[in-house]
Amino acid sequence: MQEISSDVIRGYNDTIILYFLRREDSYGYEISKNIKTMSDGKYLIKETTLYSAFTRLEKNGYISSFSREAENGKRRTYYRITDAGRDYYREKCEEWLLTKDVIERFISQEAV
Amino acid sequence: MEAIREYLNSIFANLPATDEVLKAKQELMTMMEDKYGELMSEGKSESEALEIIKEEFGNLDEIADSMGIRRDENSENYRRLVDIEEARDYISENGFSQFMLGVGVMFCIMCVVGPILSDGLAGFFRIGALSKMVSAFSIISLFVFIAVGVGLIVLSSARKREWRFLSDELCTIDAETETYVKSQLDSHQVTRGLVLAAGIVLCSLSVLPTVLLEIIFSNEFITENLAPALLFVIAGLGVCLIISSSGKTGACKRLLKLNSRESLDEELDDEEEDDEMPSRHTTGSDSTGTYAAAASSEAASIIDSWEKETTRTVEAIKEAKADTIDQVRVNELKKELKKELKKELKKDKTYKTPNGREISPLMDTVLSNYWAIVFAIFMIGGFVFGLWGRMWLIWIIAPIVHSYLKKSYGLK
Repeated sequence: MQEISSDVIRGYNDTIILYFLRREDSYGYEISKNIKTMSDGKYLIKETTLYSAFTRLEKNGYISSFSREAENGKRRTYYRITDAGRDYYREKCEEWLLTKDVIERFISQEAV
Repeated sequence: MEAIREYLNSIFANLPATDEVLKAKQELMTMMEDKYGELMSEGKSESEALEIIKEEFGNLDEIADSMGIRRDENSENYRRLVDIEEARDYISENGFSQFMLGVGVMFCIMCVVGPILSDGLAGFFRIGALSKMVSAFSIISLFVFIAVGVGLIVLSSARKREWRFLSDELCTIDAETETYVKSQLDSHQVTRGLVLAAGIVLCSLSVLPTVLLEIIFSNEFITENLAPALLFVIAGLGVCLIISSSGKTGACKRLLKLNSRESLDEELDDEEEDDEMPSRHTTGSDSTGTYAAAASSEAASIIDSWEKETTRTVEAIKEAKADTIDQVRVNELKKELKKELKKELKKDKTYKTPNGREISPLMDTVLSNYWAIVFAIFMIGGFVFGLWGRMWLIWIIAPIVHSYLKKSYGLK
């Protein structure tokens, strides 16, 4: 059974996370769950991958983090997209469309 | 939930406790807890949920940069985890193997008892044939004892080989195991102290029967045969106790040191009595490096070298004929080494800081090989000048000089 190319997905982990943060602020596990749902279970992001993406995005100034208390009293780190993040997201979307266009020219749908 | 924390602890076991590392650990913990809660509410069992979480966790390399940790190819990423069951087994097995070693050495020491006794017994029997049988029996007993002794020593080291991976690979223990081992160490320290002390007392007193019996009895058999035989028996028992005393506590200490070991170059066997100086191990290359390393492990390595000396002494006994002169010399050697050991144990091991003053290279070599030099002086004085009666004083002067030198070069 084919799996997603890890090389390719690595380049777009940030984009995927920003997709959710555009709509609303969120935290670690919620994003992980949303990714699984949105991809119909075809992509399960690992905890370490997710965490490293968060730190990278924050370091580059695309997201900011803050602490919030949930109903059960638990402290969680929430993330919010910044304006720079929105710009970055738009760039990555254009990049993907271009990439997809080019590669699809070389993909054949036939069996052999 | 505890299982998750343990899992996380084991993964983070050998990382430094920097802010970034702790932040990463906390965030990952939160993520895993949320996931766990969700999986449980979906109806999964605890073990299923744990399995899933572990599988979907990922690996440390991905977050290495985020935590500011450099991870190269030969890094400690792949430390072998020693869990609590393994630790428990190691401690009890090591205790038994050490005991076996002690008994083996004891047999080797006592092998001469047969010939000594029969030498006197043969004189009792006027009938030639019987006395020949006694002599034959004595030789047989000598070799049987040696065989049993060596066999036990080899067996004990074979059992220990099973645990060689502890020093051949980089290992780590998690927090739960660490607490368990620490409690084991504490509970066995008292027993160990008692057994060790008893062994030393026995060794020191082993000469007593010879002296006493000589005063009380004038029977030749008793003074020339029974007494030396008794000497070896008592000394053998003493050595056995000394060797086997360190079995369990040694294992505990080795386990506790696993986590602080940085690379395969560091020796695992230096028993470190002083827990107040954890920085000593990590500052491997100071300007006073050779001396710092030598001095810090010197006191505790006396124990190791004493064990080696004992086995060496045993081999010396095996090779030499059972002459009285050799017996006395060997016993003297053992007593000197024991005195050294007792002094080291009593000495205040407060070596203050790893950053000592500037130390000249000559002084450094002298201090690093201090005891070898003292021993050499002692031997030269004895053999070349025949001053055994005076040279023993060096064993009293030497530690005093040594501690003075240490104080003057060890302090900042």
